[in-house]
Amino acid sequence: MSMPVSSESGAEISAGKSGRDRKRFTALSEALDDARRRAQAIVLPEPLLDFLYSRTRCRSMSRSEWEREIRVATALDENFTRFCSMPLVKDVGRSVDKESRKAVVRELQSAGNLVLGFHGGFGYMRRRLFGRMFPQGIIIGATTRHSAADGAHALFAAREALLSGGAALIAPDGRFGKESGLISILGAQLPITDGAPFLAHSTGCSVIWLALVRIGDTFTFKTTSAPRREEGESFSSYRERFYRFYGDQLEEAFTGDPANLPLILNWKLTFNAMLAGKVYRVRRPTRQFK
Amino acid sequence: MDSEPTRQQLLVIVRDILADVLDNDLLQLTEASTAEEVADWDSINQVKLLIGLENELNFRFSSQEVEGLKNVGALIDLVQRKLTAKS
Repeated sequence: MSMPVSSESGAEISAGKSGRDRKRFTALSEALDDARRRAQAIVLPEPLLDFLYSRTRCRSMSRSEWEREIRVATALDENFTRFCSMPLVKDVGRSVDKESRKAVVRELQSAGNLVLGFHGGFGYMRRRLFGRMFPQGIIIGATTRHSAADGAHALFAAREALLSGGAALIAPDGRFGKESGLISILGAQLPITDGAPFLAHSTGCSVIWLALVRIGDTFTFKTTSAPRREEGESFSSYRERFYRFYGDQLEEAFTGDPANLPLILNWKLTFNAMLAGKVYRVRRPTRQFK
Repeated sequence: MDSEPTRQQLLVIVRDILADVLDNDLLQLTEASTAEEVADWDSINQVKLLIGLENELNFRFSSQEVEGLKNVGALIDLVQRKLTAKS
């Protein structure tokens, strides 16, 4: 493992095994500057951009302005995901206005809360910030301690946390686990699993949608209350309400501010499949008792 | 149950709970059984199995304890340890 050293710009540079330098950003301003420089080189399929622009609620923006923002967001998300350092996470956290940060902490500390996100909207950074704010919280993800690849353990740990008043973060649009149905997002069919609604239904916990929203050169949190299990409600009824809410949040994200619309691979493949008249339904199995 | 159940009795308890979870009265299980071999034994149904065992045997698993269980025999090992610790 090579040791990171300071570059002239203040970012950490570490030499990878390939010999190519890998830059890790330590400040949000650097990650943003780099994203703005690289934006035009980000590869995004034209038909996909055409489709999303036709659905945007930001009609006052020209196509080129809108596309530019999506490119910057995508490059920034890539910087967060691939070239992240702890100082960068701290710096992004510092950029979040105190009131929204306090409100999230207050809300999530009040009782067991299942926190919903998605694989977009700066999802990696949202996970890192959640981890800093709630060190005892459970984060279910492909590369987290409670890996979605070990579905039973992750679900059990999340249930344990929720029942003891803690918080668990999950992004139900992931690709792990057994498909239990499809929901439509702007016409694209998204395969879903039952893990998140199962947790919410079996524990009766509060459920919250948590968005990390970029406003210029800073970030803020936005929370929205999601449906909670009603007394005596069946799982199938709750699951339907849960996914109706979740689909609405995704559609709002994909039609909203392009500055908060990084297009990650999974969603590019999902929408591209729709444009080709198909469904992108690649899934990765979870393991239990194997 | 006055005394701790034997492994064979625990296997029957696990089988009965899982059969109920999977809605499969004909389910056959051995200590070597894995989720891969049993239709519909997915992660959610495994959590339901663990909850069922907690309710039936009156103890609580911790998430650390249920991590990396290899097969039914490993689950029965864990249940025996929990029952011994409880008594």
